[in-house]
Amino acid sequence: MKKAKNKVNNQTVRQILKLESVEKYYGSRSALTKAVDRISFTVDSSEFVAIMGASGSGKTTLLNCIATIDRVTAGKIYVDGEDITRLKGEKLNRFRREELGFVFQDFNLLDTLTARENIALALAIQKVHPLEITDRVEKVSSELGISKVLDKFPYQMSGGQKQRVASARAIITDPKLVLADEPTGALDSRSARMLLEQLEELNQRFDSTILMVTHDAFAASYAKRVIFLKDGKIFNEIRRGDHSRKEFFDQIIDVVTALGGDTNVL
Amino acid sequence: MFSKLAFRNLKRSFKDYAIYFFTLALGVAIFYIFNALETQSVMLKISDYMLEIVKLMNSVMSGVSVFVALVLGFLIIYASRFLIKRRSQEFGTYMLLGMSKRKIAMIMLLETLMIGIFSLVAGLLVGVALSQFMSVLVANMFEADMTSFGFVFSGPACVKTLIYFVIIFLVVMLLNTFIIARQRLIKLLQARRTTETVKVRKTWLASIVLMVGVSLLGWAYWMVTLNSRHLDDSNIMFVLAAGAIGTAFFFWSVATIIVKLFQKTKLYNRGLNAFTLRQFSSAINTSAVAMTMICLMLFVTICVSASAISLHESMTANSDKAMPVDIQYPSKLADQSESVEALKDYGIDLNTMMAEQMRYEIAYSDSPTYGDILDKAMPADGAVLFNTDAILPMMHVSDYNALSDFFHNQKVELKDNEYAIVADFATMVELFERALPTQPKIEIAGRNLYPATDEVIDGMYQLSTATSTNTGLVVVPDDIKFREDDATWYTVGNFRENVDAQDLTDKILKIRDQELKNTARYFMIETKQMLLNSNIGINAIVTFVALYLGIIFLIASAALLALKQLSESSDNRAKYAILQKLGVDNKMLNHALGVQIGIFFALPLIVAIIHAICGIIFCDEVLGIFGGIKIDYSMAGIALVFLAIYGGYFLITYFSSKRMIRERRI
Repeated sequence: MKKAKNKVNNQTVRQILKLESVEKYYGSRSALTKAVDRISFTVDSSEFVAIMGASGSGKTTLLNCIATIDRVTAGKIYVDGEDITRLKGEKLNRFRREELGFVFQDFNLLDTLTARENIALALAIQKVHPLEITDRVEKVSSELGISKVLDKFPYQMSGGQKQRVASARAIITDPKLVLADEPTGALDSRSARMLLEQLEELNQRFDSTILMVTHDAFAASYAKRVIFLKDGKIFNEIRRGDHSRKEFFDQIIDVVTALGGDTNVL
Repeated sequence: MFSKLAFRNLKRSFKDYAIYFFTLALGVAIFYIFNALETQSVMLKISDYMLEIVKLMNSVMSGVSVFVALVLGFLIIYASRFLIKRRSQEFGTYMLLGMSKRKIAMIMLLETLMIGIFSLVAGLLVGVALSQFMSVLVANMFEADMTSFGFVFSGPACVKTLIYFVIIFLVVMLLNTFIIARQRLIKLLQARRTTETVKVRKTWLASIVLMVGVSLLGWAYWMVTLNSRHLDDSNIMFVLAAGAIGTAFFFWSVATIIVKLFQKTKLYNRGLNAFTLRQFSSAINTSAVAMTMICLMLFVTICVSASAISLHESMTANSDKAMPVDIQYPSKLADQSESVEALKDYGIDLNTMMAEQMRYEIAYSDSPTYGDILDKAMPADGAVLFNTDAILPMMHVSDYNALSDFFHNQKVELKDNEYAIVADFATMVELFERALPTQPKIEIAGRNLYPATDEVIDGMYQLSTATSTNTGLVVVPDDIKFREDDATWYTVGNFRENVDAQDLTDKILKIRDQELKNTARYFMIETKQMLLNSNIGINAIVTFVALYLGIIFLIASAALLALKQLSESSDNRAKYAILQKLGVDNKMLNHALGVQIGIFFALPLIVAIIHAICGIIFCDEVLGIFGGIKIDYSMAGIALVFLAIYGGYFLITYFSSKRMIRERRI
């Protein structure tokens, strides 16, 4: 067994993610696009950080670099002290498999597999022992309240149940970092709220470290900290602190207005 | 402008077209090869009689080709529908940009035309090349020597292939145009965004269906192998139906049970096993009927090809045993043959050609019937395949013993009140041997005779195209007088060494035709050569038709499997994208894909092979009546070709699927 799920809250704060002047350029020398322009920030363990920006601000490119889906042009990205920009081949796959969890907007469950198999798959591809898989699936699903739907197929489940199964799959591997790319982008407001509450729960109850990319102020207001990007650079950064979510939302809107972008204020 | 777009499309989606191209080119090649057989046979030095057979074969092939063209046409239409479905988004984009349906259909038409021309040329080239190898088989079949052999190109076969495939293409083009004209823009654009509901069967129901299916198959297997004695016209349809329904039940339920069984093991949660198994299970569950059809087609392919080839082998191997003498002819008179007299009119004196000959008498009057002897030995359930009132021929023991020298039979000794039964047809031997110990009495010309032994004497008394066809002859003491009006005299003999049997046979056949036309003389002569020739002819026709149909069925089933799997793969891209995001590396992904497609191809083949083993045992028994067929390694070549075709489809499917799932990277 890996470390227990419900960690105590007064645990020492660790630096999970550290970006050092990361750059990502596209195009040729004559027509260079700086999608990400010397960005540096850190994310501590158990943090819930949102990266906000209009389309073209470079937020998705940045997330893709952190997820090792894309390669940086310059700079370094450390995940729990390890420079992931240097990883290659099998090590890269293993990193993605073992250290990252993904939350997708349309759940991305495999529809030929039952809930149990969907959750177990994340561990099975890490070659975890089958008996341990069974135990861990039972544990995480009872914590998320989906024990009863484990043997159902995605088409037999409600949206909320699917969301929980997807979350269970994202955190069962005990990832250092959970990444969410525009998780509410194509959802109706009810489903979007459900997903965001789910992320919040993962962060508060399971101490998951979450990095979410969004252009939606409402979604961002669920985070503890929001980093604003404009033209590939960090424009501003605000923390929620002890404010209510409504107050935090208003603060975000203020920054967005200052940004003058086309950001969706909902 | 449009031709340019069509050509670029073709280049870009060439790999999508791979399966289409492979099927088309293979079809063209096979079509050419089997229609070119006539030209190839004519190139060989063969007799006039053989030429007749070749002509007959060609007309049979022409008939079969119509059927083959229908099968191929259906396949090509099916394949092109898969292509249209796969590219619906592309067509949707064209329409969104304001292109009319007619122009899109035009592009599709040009693409079909180009791929058609391309595969027609490639198929013909391959066909011409492969048909040279086929010549070896042709020469072997017609027992001709290969020395006079050269490169053969068959113009008629080429023209015929072109005509048939041009017609098929025209139909495909029309249908494609029709399909596109009926498309709705919204459907085209959303074609890829369909949600899937998984077909899950209840475990208890699947278990019952599987058990019923396996029992039905078991019963059918048992009926055709161990219990085949009780198989006849009345129940064979039930056995076939049980086999087909059993197979369908098996494919309907097997995947559910396999998944259930695997879930109990540790293997299920290892790597991508669960995913692979579920994918396979959903593929089988959604296409149980298609899988059954494919499996049965493979079964027919294997059985027909195997039986046809072994039929040829055994007939050739047995011809010396079945035809121990060079010539045989009947006559009504004891001292002279009408046929020999007739030949003399044409300048042929048979008597001077013979190295040795003998004449013997066979009587049919006063003879016992089968029923007289078999009466007490008839099977109680009454499954009798012959008329028990039929008369058994009779022969004197001294004649029989003299004939034994020609036919290499065992000699017989009889006392005054004894008779003996000579037979070599397995079923009849068995019946007689059950009857003889009961000492059945027969009465001939007022004398009572009893069997000399309890055993049937193994032997024959007439030339025949196959071995072991003597259903019974009664040998009686010499002093029994036969009624003259009902006896027939037979002459058997062997030629002198300097006689050209083939040449003589050709002459006799010509004379016979003239005699039949012009005179009412009784003319009947059979030479060993005639029987050999007709054997070879029947063999060749049966073998080639069986191979032709076998290969086409094989192509049809493999292509259907491939298309089924490919449309799954194109629907499944999203799933593989999820796996990649979860951190599954390409090696694992390819492995899962390979295993899934492998099982999908292997399962119907394995079931078909098991079916075929029982089927072949049965064919062996049925055909074995005529000569004990052995299915052996001699078929390795054909099996290899079949495996190459099936394996080729598997590989194309695997590589195309691999490319499809990688199309959209994370």
